[in-house]
Amino acid sequence: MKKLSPKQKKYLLKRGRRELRNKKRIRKTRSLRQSTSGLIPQNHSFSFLDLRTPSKFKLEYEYSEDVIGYINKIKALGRSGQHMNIIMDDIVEIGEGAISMLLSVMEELVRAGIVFTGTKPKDKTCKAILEKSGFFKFVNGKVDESNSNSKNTILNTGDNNTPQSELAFEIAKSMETIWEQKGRSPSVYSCVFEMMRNSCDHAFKKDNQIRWHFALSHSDTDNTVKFSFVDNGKGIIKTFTEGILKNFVNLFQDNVDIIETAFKNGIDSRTGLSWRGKGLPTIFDNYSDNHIKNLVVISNNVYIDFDRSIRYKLKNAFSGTYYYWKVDQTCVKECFPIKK
Amino acid sequence: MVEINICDDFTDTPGARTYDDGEFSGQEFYDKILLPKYEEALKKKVKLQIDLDGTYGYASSFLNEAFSRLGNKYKPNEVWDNLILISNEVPKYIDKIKEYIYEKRK
Repeated sequence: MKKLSPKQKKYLLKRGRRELRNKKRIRKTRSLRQSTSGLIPQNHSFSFLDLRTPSKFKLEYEYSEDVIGYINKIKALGRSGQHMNIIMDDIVEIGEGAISMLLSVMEELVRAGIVFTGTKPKDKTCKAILEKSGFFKFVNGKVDESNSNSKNTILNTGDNNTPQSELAFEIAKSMETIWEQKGRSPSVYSCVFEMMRNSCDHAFKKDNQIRWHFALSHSDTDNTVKFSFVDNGKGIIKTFTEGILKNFVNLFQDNVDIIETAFKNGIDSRTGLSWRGKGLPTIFDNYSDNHIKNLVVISNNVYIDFDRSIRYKLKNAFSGTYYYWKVDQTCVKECFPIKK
Repeated sequence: MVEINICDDFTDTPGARTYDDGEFSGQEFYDKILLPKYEEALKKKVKLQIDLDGTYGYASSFLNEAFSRLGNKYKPNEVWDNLILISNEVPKYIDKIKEYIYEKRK
C-alpha cells in the first residue's frame, strides 16, 4: 500500500471530519420533532418537559386516579406555559375515552400556544387504537396505512351551536356496526344532544371557551360501538353549587349524592326548585331503558359507574365532565329506517 | 283535523331550545309551525295532530321550549285536550310533552 504523505494525511483527516459534521447535520434535520402544530424549527428555543403517560391509559375506575392525575398535570404545566413531550412508549392498555380526554386538554393548550411533541405506544394494539381513534385528525402525526381507514371518529366544536346533521350521520353509521343496518336511534341521539347542550349552556363562562369532543369507536367483531363525550368546563358539581344549589348544598350528603340525584331523580325533586334542565335525567332514562349500557360519568371529584354500582370520590378531581357508554346487541334494539 | 309531521314539515334533526342554540330549535318550531297550526286548528274547531316519528330524536330542551310556550300562551288543559300526539317510535315523548305543557314558565 502506498504510504501517505503528511499533507495527504492532513487532507484525509480534514475530509473525514467534514463528512462526519455533514452527517451529523443531516441526522439533526431528520430528527426534527413533529409537534401538534407541525414541524418545530431547527433553531427553536422551546424547552420540553418529558411526561410519561400511565401504562394503563384508560378511565376504568381502577386506573382513573392515575389517568386524571396525569391529565391534571398536563393542564397545570400547560397553563404555566410549559411545552411538553408526551411519552406513550410504555402504554400497554389504552381506552378511547382517555384518548378523548387527553385530546380535549391538548387542544385547549395548543390554542393557548403550548407545543406538544410525543411518541406513540410501542405496543402494537395500543398504537392501532390510538391511530384509529381519530386523535390524529387534530394532532399532527403519521398514521399507518392499515389504521388510516377506520370508521372511528371524534367530532368536536368550538361554538354554541349543535351540529345536528353531523351527529345524526355518525349515530346512523354506528347503528350499522351494531345492528348491521344504518338507522335512527332517537335515544342515543338525545343522550349526546343533552351532553352537548349541558356543555354549551352551563360548563363555560364565555361562549368562545366552549369546546367538547365526542368520540365513537366501532368494533365490527362484537357489533359494539363505544361512545365518549368530554368537555373541560366547570363540571356538573361546580355548575350546580355555584348556581341553582348555592343555598341548598346541605340537602345533599356529598358531591356524589348531588350527581346521582341529578341523574336519577332530577335536582328539582330534592330541592323543590324549578329547574328546567332535563338533560341528565333524560340520559339516565335511556340508560335505565337499556338503550345504552356501561354508563360512566366523571365530573369534578365524582366518579360514577352505574353498571358496576361504583360511586367514588376522586382524589384527583377532573375539571370538566366526561361520559362514557356503550351500545351493543344486548341493548334494546332501536334502529329505525332513515326517512329522508 | 290539522296535522303536523315534524320530520316532513320542519326537520329530521331537531335542535335545542332557542334560536341562539343553532338551527331547528324548539323556539323556531313553536314560532313557525306549532303556534300557527294550533291557532288554525282552534279557528277550524278541530284537533291538531302532531306526528313525532321519523326524526333522529329530540332533546328535552326542544320539546320543553316548544310545548311549554304553547301551554303558557293558552290554558294547559285546553292545549292538552286539543292535541293528538303520535309517537310510536319513542312513546315516552308523549308523557314528557304533557309535563311541559303544564309547566309554568318564568
